[in-house]
Amino acid sequence: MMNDMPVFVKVEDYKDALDVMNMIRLKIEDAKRTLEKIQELKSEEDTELELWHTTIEEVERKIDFIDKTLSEPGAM
Amino acid sequence: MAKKQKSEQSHDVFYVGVRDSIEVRRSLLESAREAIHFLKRYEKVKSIRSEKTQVILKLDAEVKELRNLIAKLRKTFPATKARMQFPVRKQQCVICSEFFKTQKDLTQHMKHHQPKKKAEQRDAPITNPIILEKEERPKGNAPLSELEKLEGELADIEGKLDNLM
Repeated sequence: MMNDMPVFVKVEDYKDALDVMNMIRLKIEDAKRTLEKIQELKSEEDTELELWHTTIEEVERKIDFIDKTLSEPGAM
Repeated sequence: MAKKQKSEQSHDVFYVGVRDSIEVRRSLLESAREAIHFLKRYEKVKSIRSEKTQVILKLDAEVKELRNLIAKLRKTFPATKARMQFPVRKQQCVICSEFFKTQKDLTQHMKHHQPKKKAEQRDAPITNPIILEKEERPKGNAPLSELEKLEGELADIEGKLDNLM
């Protein structure tokens, strides 16, 4: 019943509403761009962390080699 | 006499041979180089995080403006008792993506994600400004924090949505 009831808005209010609507759209676009930037920075950070991981593994491998070499002294 | 003693001492020193000495030296140098690269990357990550914090704060400001604009838009419409069916929206945690039946459950759950110690908060490069505001709020009859205001507004909107359905 209530779904079919018409709703009227004053003309001045209607114009205001359209202006606000436009501002909301612009603000949403701004927020979307900012969110994309955050996503971009997050990916950049993730890439750097992945590189850290690779570096740590590489250093570990080298240290293992040194350790192994030192624990097996060479013959005279 | 002293010369003789020194000569005897030098005979007591033993040496251990290192196999692949060049490879060992190379590995050591490369490890040192990697450690420096690591520190350089740390500086880069620090700057990325700093930039990210700034952008998050910007987004926070934009969302607040958006909220104000929506409130302004709502005021331009007359208050009616018109009823409308909205799709049921499940409450979801933004951190672990877990779903909750009510806003209260979600709020309760979000407390688990809050940092426990203040010292940890200081160390953390990125902190949730909303959570931080709650931590900083003095006890007693202090004014409502941003989070509490938002929760109040949310409960108000949820109530209105329930009435619409």
